Amino acid sequence: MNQILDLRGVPCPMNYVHTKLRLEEMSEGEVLEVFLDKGEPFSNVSRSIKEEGHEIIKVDRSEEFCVIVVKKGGGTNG
Amino acid sequence: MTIDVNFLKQGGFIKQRHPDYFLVRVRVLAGDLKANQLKKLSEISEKYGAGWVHLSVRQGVEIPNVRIEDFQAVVKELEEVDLSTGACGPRARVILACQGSSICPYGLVNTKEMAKKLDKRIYGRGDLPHKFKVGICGCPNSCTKPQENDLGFMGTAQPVFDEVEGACIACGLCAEACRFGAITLDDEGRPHIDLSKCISDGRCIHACPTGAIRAAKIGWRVFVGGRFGYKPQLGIPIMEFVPDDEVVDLAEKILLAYKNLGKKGERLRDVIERMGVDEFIKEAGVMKVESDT
Ligand code: SF4
Ligand code: SF4
Repeated sequence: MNQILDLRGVPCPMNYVHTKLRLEEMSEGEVLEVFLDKGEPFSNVSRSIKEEGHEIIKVDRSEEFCVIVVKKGGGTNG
Repeated sequence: MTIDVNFLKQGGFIKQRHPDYFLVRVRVLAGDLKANQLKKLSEISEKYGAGWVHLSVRQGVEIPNVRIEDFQAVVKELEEVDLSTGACGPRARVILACQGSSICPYGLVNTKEMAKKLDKRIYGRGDLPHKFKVGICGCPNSCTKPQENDLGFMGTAQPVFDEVEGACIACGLCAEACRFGAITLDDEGRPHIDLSKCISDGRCIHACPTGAIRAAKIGWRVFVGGRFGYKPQLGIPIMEFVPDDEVVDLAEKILLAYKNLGKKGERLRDVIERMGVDEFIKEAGVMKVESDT
């Protein structure tokens, strides 16, 4: 079962902080679905996830929000 | 204590309104100060100054209320922590730089390293028609405003869609990241980049989760003839994607051309307006490249 984190309405950079903390609790290879507002939150959080060495496997979007499907990577490069 | 007039010739202090006080200008490269340097500045300001310092817009530190007879002692104390006074007058001034790629998520080039290299080669160069300012930034956000300097460098990257390094997962993050509508997605959600709309800020490259959009070129956009003050004019872009290892030589050529072609009192902008930018560039021995933005 994928984990889910609903960060709609949470501004930058707190949305990323929540994502980072959740990913730290998970083990490598586990999948997290992050719900984000469109625009900056979507762009910024996905870029940071990539830079931390996780894999974005899919992105879904509706009119108002996006869902980033992330596979936890082996380690952070931060 | 006697005042060594020869020592004062090195400059680095400015007369204040108050007849007994001088402002000591400390050179801070790229706005970075180490903890021990901060401590020393704090000590100096308490011992010789007014107990506070002023941060200049060119990332320098100015120590007010220093008496001229203490200047030499201040310089000596600054040297203990590898600091020195800043250039004033018709010289190449301290190089201004933003955080760049070593700190800032938007950075495309290493501004701190480049500032060091430029500083080593041209800082303090004198015998110029007027002052000469160099400013660099790591991406087109222009936080340190390189366009306001006689010579400015801005990190840029040109994207290319190329699936050798990573497959496209049709996420659309690249199109979302672009603030200029340069990326459109086709029916399968794959990107098409219109370089005529692209300002080379690298947003799509940073955004792409798989590496399917990568940098085809990374380098420096070069601006000449910018200035602020009483007659603000933005620098004219003359070159694109200059690689790291060519930047210092280029700066040298432009500085030399300015020195040789400029009349006393002329800023680089005046020289360029008198000669025309194309002629100046030809004389400087650099090649102009049409900007595609
Ligand atoms: S100019 Fe770009 S790289 Fe430099 S601090 Fe601003 S956003 Fe960051
Ligand atoms: S960001 Fe990368 S993976 Fe996503 S659509 Fe653009 S090229 Fe494809």
